[in-house]
Amino acid sequence: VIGVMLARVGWGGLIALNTLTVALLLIPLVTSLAVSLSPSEFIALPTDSISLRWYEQFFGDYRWISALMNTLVVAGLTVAISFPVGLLAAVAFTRYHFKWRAAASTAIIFPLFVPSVVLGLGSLTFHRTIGIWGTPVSLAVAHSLWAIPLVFIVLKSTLAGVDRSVEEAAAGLGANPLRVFWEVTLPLVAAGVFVGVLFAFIISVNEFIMSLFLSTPRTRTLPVAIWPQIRYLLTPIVAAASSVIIVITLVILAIAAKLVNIRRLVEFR
Amino acid sequence: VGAGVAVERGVPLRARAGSLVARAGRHRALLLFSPVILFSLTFFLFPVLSLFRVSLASNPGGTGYGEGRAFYVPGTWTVDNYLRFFGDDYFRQLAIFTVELGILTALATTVVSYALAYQIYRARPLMKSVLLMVAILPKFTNVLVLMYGFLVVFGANGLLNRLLLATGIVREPVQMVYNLFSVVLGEIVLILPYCVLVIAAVLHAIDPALDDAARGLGAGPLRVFWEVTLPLSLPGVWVSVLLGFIWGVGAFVAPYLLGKAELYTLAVEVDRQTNWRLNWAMGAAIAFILMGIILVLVFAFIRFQRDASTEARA
Repeated sequence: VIGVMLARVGWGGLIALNTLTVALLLIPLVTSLAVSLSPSEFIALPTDSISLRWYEQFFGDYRWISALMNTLVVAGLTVAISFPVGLLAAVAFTRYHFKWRAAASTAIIFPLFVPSVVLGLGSLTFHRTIGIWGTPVSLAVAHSLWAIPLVFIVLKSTLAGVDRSVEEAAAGLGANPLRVFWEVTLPLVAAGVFVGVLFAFIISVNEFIMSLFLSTPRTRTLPVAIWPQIRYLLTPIVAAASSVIIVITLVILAIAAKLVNIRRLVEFR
Repeated sequence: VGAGVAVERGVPLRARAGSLVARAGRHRALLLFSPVILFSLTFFLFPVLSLFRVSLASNPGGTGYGEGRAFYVPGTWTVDNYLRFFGDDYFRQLAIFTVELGILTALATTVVSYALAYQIYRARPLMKSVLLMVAILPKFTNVLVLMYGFLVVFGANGLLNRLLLATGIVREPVQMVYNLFSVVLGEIVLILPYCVLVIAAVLHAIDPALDDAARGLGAGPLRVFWEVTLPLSLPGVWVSVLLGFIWGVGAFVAPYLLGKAELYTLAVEVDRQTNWRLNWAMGAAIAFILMGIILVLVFAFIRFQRDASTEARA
């Protein structure tokens, strides 16, 4: 009986801790969104009325607009680089058996565990040497260091879920491997492919530290433009800029959640 | 034609055909892997090597700006940057604090993540989806947005302080950020998503029959957790500690925005040397030392964990 009571208390404590955690996770986002709609000159929650004045200011200022455009261009390039590279690696990994599979997988994921200041400064010195520094490509290849592993992980698990006998049937009917992949496998994993693309896009839109090292005034992305203003809570314009990023991300996440069951991330069976 | 020959000659040919297919498979796998190999060599390995090279260059002196000079002197070889690092009390203290913060972050994040992952594991499908969504949200949000939200709510001039002042609960703003607690809290938010996913995945992989069996043998819920669930989920806990440590040691944004000078880390120092002092050589040396510290401690951790698990088995 005491054990059961203790378990109840423990469960109650657990729920309390988790409630705090969830609040901690949600408060920054909700506050940024709310403050951005405030008509006030200062940081405040909109109490009486909401206003879009900070968004008007955001979209009326060419510096913010160019930062937004840079962000989207770099994210598009990141997808263009990381998606084909990650897809081919995932196909190789799930369709062929070879000795160095485990080593290859570790090598692909490795950059995720290298501090971003190391990747940022290393890329800066190297990109300057080879002459791509200051272009959107420079930022996109750096973001791809993180996007490729994620595309690889997502597509690896999606491709592993495809029933091999369907592919074998197509091959048995005379289709060559490329055609099997294009007409059978790819349509079956379309949702996973799309999610991989969206993840790569989101990673790039939100990446900050490598961008801080690599961006120049011409290639400044939205997070880098927010950075110098964030310590001084001057006006809600930063909240509006933040909210633009949040909205882009939430829309993409909502599409992704619609396409795949999110519980699949933890439930393998 | 091939089938006829195979029947005629029997097994050896089929085996040879098999090895041919395997070899073709190997070639095809290599072909499919070549883009990622090329990319990693060019944009991961070379930058790291380039970083190492720059860390061995001498400093340009001056500000670097407007003088037409590089931020390091190309073609020079020196270990001065490393000597300076290890000879200077300031840098040594910085390194020690960075490691301490990493350990603290790893432990705190793992405890918080385990609690959330356990509730996700026990929750009904709808609640499970919602909690998972909330848990991974920070990973898909900008780190700056998260820190900005923190400052807006908890800052000296923030919403919470203004509420407290307006209601007369306090007379002066309460300092809730710019301390160790706020830095660790910020780091938890940034690292938690991966840890929750890892631990939740391990929990979901536990055979539910074991749970039922333990209950059937008369164990209470606490005992089931302590003697069945927790030991079986330990691999996930180890991974979570490792992830928390790796990212905690590399912490940059939270110490910078939610901390103060005494709470800065090696990563912050890399930024200050590189982007403020324009001393790329020193920045590169510190970045390389940071990576070295992480590699050494990760290997030490993996060995320790392997020893611990063999001991537990024996």
